[in-house]
Amino acid sequence: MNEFALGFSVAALVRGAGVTMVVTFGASVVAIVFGLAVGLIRVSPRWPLKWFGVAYIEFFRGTSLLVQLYWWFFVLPIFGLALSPWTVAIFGVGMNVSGYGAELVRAAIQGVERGQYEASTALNFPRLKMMRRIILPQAIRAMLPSWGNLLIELLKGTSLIFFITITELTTASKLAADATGNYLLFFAIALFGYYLLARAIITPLVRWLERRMSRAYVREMLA
Amino acid sequence: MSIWDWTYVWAAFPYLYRGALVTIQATLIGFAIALVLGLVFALVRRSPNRLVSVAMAETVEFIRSTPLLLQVFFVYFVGPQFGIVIPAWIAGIGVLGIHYAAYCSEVYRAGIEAVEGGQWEACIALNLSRSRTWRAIILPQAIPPVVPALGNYFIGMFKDTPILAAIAILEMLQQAKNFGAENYRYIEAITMAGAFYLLFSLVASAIVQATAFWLNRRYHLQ
Amino acid sequence: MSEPMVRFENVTKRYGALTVLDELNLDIERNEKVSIIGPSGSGKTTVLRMLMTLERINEGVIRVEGEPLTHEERNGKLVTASDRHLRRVRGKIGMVFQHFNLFPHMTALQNCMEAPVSVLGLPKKEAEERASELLEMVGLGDKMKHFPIQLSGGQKQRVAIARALAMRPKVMLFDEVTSALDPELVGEVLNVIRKLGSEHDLTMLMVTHQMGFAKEFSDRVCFFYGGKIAEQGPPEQLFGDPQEERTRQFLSAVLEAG
Repeated sequence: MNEFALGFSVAALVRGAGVTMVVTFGASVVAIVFGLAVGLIRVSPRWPLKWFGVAYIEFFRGTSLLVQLYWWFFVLPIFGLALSPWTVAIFGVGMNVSGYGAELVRAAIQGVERGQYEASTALNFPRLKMMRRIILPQAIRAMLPSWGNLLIELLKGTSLIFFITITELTTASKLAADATGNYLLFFAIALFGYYLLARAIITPLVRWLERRMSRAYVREMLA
Repeated sequence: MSIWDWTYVWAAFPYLYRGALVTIQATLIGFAIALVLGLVFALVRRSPNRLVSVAMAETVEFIRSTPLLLQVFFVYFVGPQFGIVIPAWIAGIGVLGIHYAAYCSEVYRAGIEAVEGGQWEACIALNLSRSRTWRAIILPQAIPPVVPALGNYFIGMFKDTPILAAIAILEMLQQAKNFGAENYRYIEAITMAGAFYLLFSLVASAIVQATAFWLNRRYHLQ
Repeated sequence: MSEPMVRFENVTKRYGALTVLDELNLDIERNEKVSIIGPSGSGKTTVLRMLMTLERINEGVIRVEGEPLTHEERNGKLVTASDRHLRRVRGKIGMVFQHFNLFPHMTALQNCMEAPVSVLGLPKKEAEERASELLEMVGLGDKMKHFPIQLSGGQKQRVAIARALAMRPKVMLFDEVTSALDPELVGEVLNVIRKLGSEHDLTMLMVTHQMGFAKEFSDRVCFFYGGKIAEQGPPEQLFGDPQEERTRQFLSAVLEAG
């Protein structure tokens, strides 16, 4: 293996890792925003909203992520909607994960003790205010750990944009390995790269949020 | 040219059918591996030897936090670099099995930890051997409650099979894509593939619920 | 036959810095019925759990029929027992738990057959006969095919007693076996224990809060306090004329509570 190819490949790998991080971040924002919105719609007492929520969740969880990416990438252009690979990557992965996220939101909201709803009703809270002030703060704290796992799934999911022509970490490692013939080295580096992103960035971030939220909770309790 | 053309639907059927067979085979064999290996992982993790149990935990953690696609690449391409050629089919299904074994082992673990401590004590008091304790007392109580969670991973694995296309296994989605490329028509084939995944997910989750219900009744839990 | 059935020699049990049992010395004779009473945290349940090998002991030796339980004599020295040794000696002991610990996925009959078949290697038919006899004896002849979830607390506890007896132990341990029961179900379980005591050659060791039963049933009562036996003696004496101030306080507190 010559020096030049190696140096070139390492640079490509670093760029790939950067792309993976950008897509992961973008898709996470999409997943969180859509997941929260659809989760709230899903627990709405109005049935058209509720059923829209059910359909959304079942659609995005039931069809495969790669099918969804292909759909965005190959099918939408037929309707004259040619999206850039970046848009496909961020929204494709993000919306897929938002289906799972919405389900987490639903479970967490419905998991808040009945007594909390009853107390809010007894205090004559309007429904939206009850959601915002009483139910959601408790639900969010309860669902944070699951979101941590979900975001790691999202990170892994970004490897599938290998199939739609963006050179993220997996693609970069494959290209580098093909170019140099050293599959062991580059795949091992990429595997550890993902492991590091998951365990050194996502997990601590979610843990930090958990701590922060429970601190706020304690403060509110003491206040 | 209409947006949806039924003639393409019929034309795509043979492709999808061939692909679906591969997909279903891969899922069934892969999940069988995951179920067995996952249990092994879970039992190794309970080893009294701290080193062994920590190493197992870390391995599971590692498998769970890295992408399946990359793991498939790793197994399929690294072997030949050292003169060991693994057929795509074996590499693909094997990695699928190992990847999900890591998830299943966590599920088993939760099930095992949920068995009351008193059950272990009763087994000691009755002098049951270690293996008999596991087989006759602990696992029959630990597994039925976690069947729904295992079932979800079964469905998850089914939806992950398109990844096998990356090492030239012609599963359903790849067949759909090939059909699309040959005919310059993607919409029908890819939508059909998506519909099939959705249908399978819904049917499979109904079956899982029913199985869980039956198992819990069979073992008089709950 | 002067060898006691069970002998605790300077047995000490600690959880971290907390000493639960402090150099316990206790002999239990063959066929003797011994009740252990005392406030919670006095270490009384630990005595049973150590004898059943559910807890490790930190110091001392427990002997069953003269043979060390958690140790083994090898070349004249006591070493930690092998699994085989442990299982052989443990076979002489049976235990009934506060929370029954029945196997929920097995019928009453299967609960009583599991260990005789898989541990003693009894043929299924023989194990079934033995199990049904015992279930008859505890008054559950009509509930053999029932699963634990279909039984009342008292019935569960009687199955648990039959299950332990099916292993033909020489020593039976009863760990607060009526504490988890509704008051109206206590009697049926105590009746079974009474019957066992009069009809079988069994050494019985029980931790109990039922003072009336302890008084009527046991040959000897041990009052535990702070990890030691504070006082012991025949029930008439211990309940009628306790020598220690702590015993008097405990008894009056218990009797007051009813």
